[in-house]
Amino acid sequence: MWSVADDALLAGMAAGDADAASAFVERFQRRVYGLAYTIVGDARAAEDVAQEALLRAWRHAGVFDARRGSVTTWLLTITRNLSIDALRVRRPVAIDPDRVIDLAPVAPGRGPAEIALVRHDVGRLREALTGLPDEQRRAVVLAGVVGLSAREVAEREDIPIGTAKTRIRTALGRLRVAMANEEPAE
Amino acid sequence: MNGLGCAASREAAPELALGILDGAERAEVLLHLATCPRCERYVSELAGLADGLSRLAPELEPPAGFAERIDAEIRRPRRRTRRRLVTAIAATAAAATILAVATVQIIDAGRTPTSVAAPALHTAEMVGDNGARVGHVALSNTSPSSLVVNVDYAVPDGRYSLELGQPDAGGQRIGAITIAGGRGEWIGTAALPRGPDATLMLVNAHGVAVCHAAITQPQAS
Repeated sequence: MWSVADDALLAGMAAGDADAASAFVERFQRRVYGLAYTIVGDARAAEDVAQEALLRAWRHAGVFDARRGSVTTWLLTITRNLSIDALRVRRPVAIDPDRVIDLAPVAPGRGPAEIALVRHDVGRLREALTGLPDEQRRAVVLAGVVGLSAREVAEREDIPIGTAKTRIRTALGRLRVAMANEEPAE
Repeated sequence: MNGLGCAASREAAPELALGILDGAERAEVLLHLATCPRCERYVSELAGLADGLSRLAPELEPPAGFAERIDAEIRRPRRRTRRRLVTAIAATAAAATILAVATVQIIDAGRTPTSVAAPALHTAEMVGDNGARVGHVALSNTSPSSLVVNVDYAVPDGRYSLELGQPDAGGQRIGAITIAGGRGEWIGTAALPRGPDATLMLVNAHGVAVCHAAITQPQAS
């Protein structure tokens, strides 16, 4: 079952195949729960968010459009949005931006191609992120993963909003350059 | 409100890509992207990076029985279920900042880039049956008008027809919008009907308008 591509699992879910859905949940539950927990910082709330995200994937598998990104991206976007909404119910929550770059090894049970892609791209992104100045890394993580607006980043970091915007902008720009420079020459 | 140029759009691009740009500013950037393939590619590139950031979160083992509980839910006959947190989310999201999906969804395959202009924009709230705000619409003063439809609250996931007209009299279909994860966005063009009472509606598969916005054609600049 694990050799089945993500897209194929999702297609099975769209067709109402409960076994495909079970395999999908098994494959993505750690990633979904990990992201939810990283953002909301509470096990019970993270469980609720992760469950809702996976159930939404089940209910709405038919609207997934592969032209607009990978299954992982789609699912993590749903998870992130639900987490951010949940976080707004529970704010303020102490969030350590550095916690989200504490990468776990790629979980087993995924196709070889996916493992290779994730290891390669995520590893490079993590390296680029850790190479940023602390304040820029914090800003882009708070914005990009936790979903804080520039104003919220400014409040949390106790800096002017213009400075927060500059940090976010500069950080993402540097990540873009770093990732472009590290593209393998093939 | 005037449309943005390339420089201003690129300055706002990181926030758009990260999904933290809201309201009229977001609409302005999106309208610029609809006419500027270069900026669109730039934002898409940043959006790819932004998506990658979510992959940096550590993978964690959920509590015991997590997968089994979802499995039971999946295999249960379909019915509407809401968990307590989701209810709380819905109650709070009305006041939440517009947060949009920062992915390449900003690229609408059906759009055709046209000349770069700086259109004046008009925005209107999208409201549901109970009068609650569920999103917003931004439209330009051009003819046909460029529209950005953003839904971020209380509209069930699914695909909806976008129609211009009147809730009671039906409308003319101008496109379709997919709501996923509680959010959806559509960018396109449409010839607005003459008169002050045009209404933009999201119509579900049963022909019911689930939300609408009263829109007025902005004055041409």
